[in-house]
Amino acid sequence: MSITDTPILTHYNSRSGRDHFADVGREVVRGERPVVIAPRDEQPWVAIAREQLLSLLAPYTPHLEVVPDPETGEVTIWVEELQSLVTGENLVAARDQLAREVPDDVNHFLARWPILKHTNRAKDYPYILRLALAESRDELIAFLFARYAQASA
Amino acid sequence: MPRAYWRDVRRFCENERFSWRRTDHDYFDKVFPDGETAGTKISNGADDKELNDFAFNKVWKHQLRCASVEDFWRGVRGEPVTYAFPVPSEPPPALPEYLRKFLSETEHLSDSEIVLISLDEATARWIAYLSRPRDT
Repeated sequence: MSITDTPILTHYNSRSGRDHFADVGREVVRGERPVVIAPRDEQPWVAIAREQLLSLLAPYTPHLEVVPDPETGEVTIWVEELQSLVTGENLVAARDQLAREVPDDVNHFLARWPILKHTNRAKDYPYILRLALAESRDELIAFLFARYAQASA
Repeated sequence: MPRAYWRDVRRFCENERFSWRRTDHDYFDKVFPDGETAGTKISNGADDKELNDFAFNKVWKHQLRCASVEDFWRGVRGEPVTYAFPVPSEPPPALPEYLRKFLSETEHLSDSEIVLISLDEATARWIAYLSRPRDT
């Protein structure tokens, strides 16, 4: 095998990316092949289909603990990678509360990423990114509870 | 041990000078010099709500990273707190025989020099050696 200077993935600069936007989308989505956008004055970035990224991140299903309180019957849910903690009067209430609060927690994590990437929380990034890709409340709940869904399948 | 309320958690964070950010909740965060972090979130209006045992355990141990529950209460009172961060306990991976032989016979390093070289560095040296142009 020879090593060449030819990049493996298709590269576009800002202008050619705009001019060939449909081609970029076709290659990324239908071809399931990421492309590189390399602006002259900015770090290169990679376009990848959402479904493909979700598939790559599929192993990163968060670890949850769902614990009922023996005295009150309240249910508390802990999400390890997000360090999120919610309590509801029952499982459904706790799950709904979690779905309401997780978007804020994800945004808080991503806002602090320039700092967190140098800390013990760096390992949590793929889990957070997968949650960030949720497009609806139902999808977010599915992502959060994916480990349980897999275990019961 | 007294039951904990979210106002106690807030007091701990304020006493320990966690950074504070308000959205729909109050986020308290702290980054320690060695790259460890602690942090929690308090919902608006929750200060008078009591934490159940499981939640309190998650807060003092996993979110605030206190060494003990007593350290949490020390922090609430404004006293010195000990934090508990995991200490790496795994020994560094040993060099495989081919790398040890390469360092010894090709790089001419002594045993005392070889023990100081990490697996990553040994591998890097080996790759660099293999990448050098050869006389034909």
